[in-house]
Amino acid sequence: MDIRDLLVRSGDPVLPAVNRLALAQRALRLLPGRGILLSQMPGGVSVSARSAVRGFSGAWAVALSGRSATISLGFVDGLEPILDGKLLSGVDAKGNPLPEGAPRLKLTPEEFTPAGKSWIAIRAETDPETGRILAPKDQPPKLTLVQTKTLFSPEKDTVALHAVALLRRPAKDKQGLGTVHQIAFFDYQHRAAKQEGRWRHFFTPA
Amino acid sequence: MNFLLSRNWNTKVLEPHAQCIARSGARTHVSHSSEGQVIDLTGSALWRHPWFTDPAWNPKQNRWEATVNPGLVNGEDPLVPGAEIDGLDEPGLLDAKALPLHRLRSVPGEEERVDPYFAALGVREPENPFSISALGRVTLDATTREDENPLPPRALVAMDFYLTVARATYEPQVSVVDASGTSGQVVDYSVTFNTDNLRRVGPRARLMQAAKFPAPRIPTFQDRLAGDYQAEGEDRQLVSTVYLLSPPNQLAGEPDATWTPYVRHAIFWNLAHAARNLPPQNAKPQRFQGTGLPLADMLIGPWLALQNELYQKVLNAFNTTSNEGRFWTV
Repeated sequence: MDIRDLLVRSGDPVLPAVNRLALAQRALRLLPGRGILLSQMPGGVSVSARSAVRGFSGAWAVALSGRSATISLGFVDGLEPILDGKLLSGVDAKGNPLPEGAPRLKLTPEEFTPAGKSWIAIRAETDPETGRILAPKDQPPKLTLVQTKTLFSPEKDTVALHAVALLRRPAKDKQGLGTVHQIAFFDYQHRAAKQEGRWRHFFTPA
Repeated sequence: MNFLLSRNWNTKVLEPHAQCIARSGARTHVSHSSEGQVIDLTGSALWRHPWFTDPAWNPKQNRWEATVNPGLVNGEDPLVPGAEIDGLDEPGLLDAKALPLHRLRSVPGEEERVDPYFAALGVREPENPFSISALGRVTLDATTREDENPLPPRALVAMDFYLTVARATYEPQVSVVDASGTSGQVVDYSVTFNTDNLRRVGPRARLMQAAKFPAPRIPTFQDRLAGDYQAEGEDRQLVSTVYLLSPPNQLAGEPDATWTPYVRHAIFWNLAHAARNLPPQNAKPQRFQGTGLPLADMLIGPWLALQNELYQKVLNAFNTTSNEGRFWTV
């Protein structure tokens, strides 16, 4: 759009200039693109851009690094998961940071469905009598994180699985780990209900 | 005769025009075409919650579209029937791109009043109901209450995104047995366990769009007792409502780029869903002996407290023959 195309000189006919201006006026309509909100108000057009809120990551935020994943701290019933024999937060029993840092979950490209999906999930072992997560005194709780290609068939009904992130890769890619789609953002409370003789497990935000 | 001097044209007419040419500022990009100036936000890494719905005008297709930020149900993205993806009949939400908004309703409409937010922007309640038109063609009744709203009138259309998850159904069968010659003394009751919809559609959630969210129909006790309702075979959850607001003084026409989008989200986080999907415990037929009153008396009996024991038996039976699922945030 060049305003010089609309300039006139003395003696120029008016009607063509008006027609050019009408077309140019149409080209001045404001149209909203991605992230833009236009509000047509009686006094004019209000242009709003969506605010760039960065960096929200709740509990269980998964980040891939090479063939492993780091998972930010989350709790289930106030219990901290154990990964590779270490607290998920990467501190020792006295609260001092471990020299090797937070534990990582090793990932394998074999643990994917044919459709290219895999999950990082909380795995909890529960008491067959009460349904509560096993947390023996002076011992780490039976609570950890695993990579799994199925969420619906734990080996026993006393084992609860709850996905915190979905890994997805193209179906043709047999070696990659794909990209992360975060599922969980909150700490959890775990409840179990016995139904038809089997435990069913429910995780709800705490 | 009046003359328009060229210098007046070049200054008084063209200067205001030139001031309306948009220029790109920080983190924005403006593209010019004969149809208008499109403003885009660039270089941003916005965090958006699952199910974040973002409507936008597509100038190439000349239509409104919306992207829905992928959300997951039971750890999987919902399928999106009708999404336009090459090579996929029914892509998941992770693969789906912008979804055209092709089912719109007029607001206000039947059983839907104007939200005060939109009333403050000029959308008015008609004195007489008007018909909902198809495909966004809005026809608003001309008789509006001018004195209540001094703002220029505007039209409003809307549509809903929602989730469905198939499940098995329990369908109580109730029959009256005329055992003693007096109709309605004895009621036979059995339950049919129906998995047709679950087997046909599968357990994965689906993201649907409709002019109006079909709210789940929860059968009443009377419905269950009479056995005359059809179980739906799916659970539904509203995701978001997209509104398109016309420019001032425009009460008809299809929504175009001059309309303003608004979104009301109903959910913000990933979901879990569960239904029983197992045969009911009391699937075997049961028989309830009445007290000699006809069935109609039994229907109103609970409220009259005349047949509490029988009522409690029936209620207990029906309470375990419901398979409505539940969605919850994870």
